Amino acid sequence: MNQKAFIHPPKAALRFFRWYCRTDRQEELEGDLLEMHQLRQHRISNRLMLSLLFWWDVIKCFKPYSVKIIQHTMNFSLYQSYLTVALRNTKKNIGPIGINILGMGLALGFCITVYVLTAFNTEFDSTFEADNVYRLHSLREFNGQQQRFELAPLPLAHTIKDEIAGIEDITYFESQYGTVLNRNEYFRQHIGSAKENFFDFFPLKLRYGNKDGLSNPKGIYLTSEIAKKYFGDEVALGKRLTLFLEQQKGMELEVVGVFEKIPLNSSFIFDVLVNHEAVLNAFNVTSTEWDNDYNVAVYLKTQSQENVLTSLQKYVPEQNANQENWQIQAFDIWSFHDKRYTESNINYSPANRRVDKTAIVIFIIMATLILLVACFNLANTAMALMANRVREIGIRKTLGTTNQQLFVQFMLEMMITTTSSFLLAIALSNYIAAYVFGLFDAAFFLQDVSIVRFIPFILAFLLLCTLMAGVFPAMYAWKFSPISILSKTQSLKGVGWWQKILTVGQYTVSICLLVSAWSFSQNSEFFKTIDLGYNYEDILAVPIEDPDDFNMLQNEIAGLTGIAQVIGTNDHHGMSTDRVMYKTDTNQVEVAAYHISPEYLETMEIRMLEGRGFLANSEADQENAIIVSREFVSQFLYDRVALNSKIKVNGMEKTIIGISDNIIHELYNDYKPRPIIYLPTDQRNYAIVLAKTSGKTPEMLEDEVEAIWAANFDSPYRGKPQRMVSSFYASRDARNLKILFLGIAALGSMLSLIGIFSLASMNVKKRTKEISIRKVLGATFRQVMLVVNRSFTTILFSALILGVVSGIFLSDMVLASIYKFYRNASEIESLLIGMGVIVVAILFISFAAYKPVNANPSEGLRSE
Amino acid sequence: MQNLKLGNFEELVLMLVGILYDKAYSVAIVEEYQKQTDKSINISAIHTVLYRLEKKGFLESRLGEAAAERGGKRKRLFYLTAYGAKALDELQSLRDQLRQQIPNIAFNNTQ
Repeated sequence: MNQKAFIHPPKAALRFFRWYCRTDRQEELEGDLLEMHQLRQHRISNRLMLSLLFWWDVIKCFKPYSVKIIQHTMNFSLYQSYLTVALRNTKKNIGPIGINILGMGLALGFCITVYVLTAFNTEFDSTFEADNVYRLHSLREFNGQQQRFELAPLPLAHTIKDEIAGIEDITYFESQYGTVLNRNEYFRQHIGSAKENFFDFFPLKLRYGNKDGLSNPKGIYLTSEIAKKYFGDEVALGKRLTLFLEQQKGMELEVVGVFEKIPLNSSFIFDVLVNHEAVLNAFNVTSTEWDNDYNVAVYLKTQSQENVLTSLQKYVPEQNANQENWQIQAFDIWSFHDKRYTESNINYSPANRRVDKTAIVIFIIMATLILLVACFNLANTAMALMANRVREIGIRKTLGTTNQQLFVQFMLEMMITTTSSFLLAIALSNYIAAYVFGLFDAAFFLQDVSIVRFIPFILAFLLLCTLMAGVFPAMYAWKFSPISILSKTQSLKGVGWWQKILTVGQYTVSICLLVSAWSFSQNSEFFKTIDLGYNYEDILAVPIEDPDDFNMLQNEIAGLTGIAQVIGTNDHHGMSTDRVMYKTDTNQVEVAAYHISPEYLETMEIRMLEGRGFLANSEADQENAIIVSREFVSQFLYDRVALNSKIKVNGMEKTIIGISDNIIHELYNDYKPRPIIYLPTDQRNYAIVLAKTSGKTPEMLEDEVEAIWAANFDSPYRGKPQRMVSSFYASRDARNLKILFLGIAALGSMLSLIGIFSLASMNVKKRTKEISIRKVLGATFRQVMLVVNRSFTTILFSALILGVVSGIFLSDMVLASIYKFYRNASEIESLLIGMGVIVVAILFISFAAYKPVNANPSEGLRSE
Repeated sequence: MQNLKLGNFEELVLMLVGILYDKAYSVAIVEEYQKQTDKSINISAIHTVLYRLEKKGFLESRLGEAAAERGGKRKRLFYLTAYGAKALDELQSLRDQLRQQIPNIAFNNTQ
């Protein structure tokens, strides 16, 4: 034998070998490795080399003959018994689990709805390939802000294809409201109109007819819904319809095609589609020259967008020279599928736009909160139910069940609950979506989104929910020690800290939701009575087609009971506005202008700050007088005495005879008071009849006015109560925000109360012996109740503080992200709401504890 | 003749086990292999073949005595089974038979 000292093999390698090697071959194999190591020392003396070679041997020996046989403990039959136990357990506790499934199902249904809403945006226009197609935008400045319009002058659309190299083709689209007459019945519809090559850009699927019909100025396409509404099961092709555009004579049209269902998340949404030439003819637009002020949404195909963008700018001066009322800063192009194409980024588009990010974020916040409550509640209930199964767990652990196996057991049980919830959620999602989107007058459903994207989402979500709700209970079972369970020394008194955290979380979210809901309902009420600067409660506005009809209509309406006054006007707040060019000392700006009758300001109760209103029958007023709003003065005339000063409007000199107060035209947070000009007009220009009611609301008189209209005119009635005219989207949104948050908060609170009920029941059950002993030793019912409730006071108190603070913060954040003017709940109100929740929770706890505490202590002592 | 399913390397190891009678364990086989063929081999390759041959019934084994250079671990000694010996014989006779049938001219041509 070599006399050199024996070099020991690396210990880590040996440890690794022992870890992987099967026990029955470990001795011989380890011996072989060591002997090889020993033999090598005769030839090699480098320690490092020897170690490396030993490592190499150990790694090479990691082969099927040597590694431990993995014991397949999780075989099928075991899973089967897990499933049996899980199902049996679910059946036994069907009450609490059922309520949780329902709650979770509703919460998930809402989440699916939010997914559908998100998919509305992400899958927007996914039916169109539209490669190399660009949207042409006009950028304008209005009230000092840049505005973006998906509009371009019609003359531009006619010239650029020929004049700009690189533009392969262009098409355009326009939409407006109009009325369709079908067999003596009027239908107010969204009328789309497009250039004849529109289908080459955007091939909409046709159910009947072909795409050539769009070149026919007498043709009209219907959507499948409209075709069904008009003609039922009859073939719509070839039927005749009459189309009325605003204030225009009817057009006789023939149905040339019916579309397949057009998804709502598409740029082009309409009820009927006609050739654009027909619309131009109806409005008597014949010229394609620059003096024509017609604007349409233009789409162009190009491979060289940089070039096109530069070339487009040369048309800006031409447009501005010809159109004083529609000054443009620049033209811009966006790719057709540009993600920025949302409602807030585009000031106006005849096409449909993506939903705003703010709305989606708010919906996602709501979904997250309610999902948290549902998951926390599920976890809490599962843990509470586990209290009944401590002994089962103890026995299983004693018989050799590993912690991993218990983990799988409880995860499987949670999986059953969450999967049922998911099935319920999918079944409910369309009802929830119909309700939620119905609030915004939209209809978009699960079947409208891509199933290929939905399935991974729903599976990932299912896994996430199961983990979120299942990890706590499964870990809870993990830490049980079988000996202490079976010898009953396991301290199960009170509520575990995990449950404390979950309960605090659950109540925080519930209180937060309730406080927010209260804030939003306060805000919604506030909007109903907000001072807009004019009367919107007692006015009924009816547009007329011919000023000559005014006198007749005035007399007829004034004859109704409950009408105080009937006046006419040309423009009207909320209905129609003109824009005029006002020349300041340095440049020209565009200002909103209203051509009004002398009675208008008084009838509408618009406050005059200085000066007077227009005089009736005053030639001088008609020619020279002008009234401006306070904002107009502060923007343009702040450095002089405005009253009686002269300003230039549309090139004509006018004298300011009065200054009116500002009116609020919108409540969103990008609102700025608008400088306004009022110009006098007379009966020859009346386009709207305003009826002021007294003693009755406009809504009550609407039917009678409509009857008068129907008796005198062929055209459809378009009158509206002023509240509807001024009914901003903002106030509709405020109402919807209230409704949605109230719904979510109610669901959250319901779940939380059920959760605390099961938690309290578990708490009392664990402490039966303690309670009995206390009672035997003379504690009164009240004292015992106090002891029982005490474990929850910290929880509820923390939740109160956290919930109220986060609720105030959340509602303020949401409202501020939407509105300029809003009102939210005060701190005191929020605190009261939070305390209300706590009081109800304590009632639930007491209710859960009442029977066990009231029971005969001898029974409690005997039971364990 | 029945299908023996014996690979070339397996046959070699089988013969080495026979040569090292009563001293045939993996380390000895590695040494013997290197001595006989002048080629080195990793011990895990020998392990794989030995256990496979045992499973197929060509070899049987028992644990031998412990040794200090093995860290006090016992070695596993392998022996040819009757089936293994027969397999070697059959393969040998098959080879001989075939070899006999090759005409001499075939060898001459290659030289």
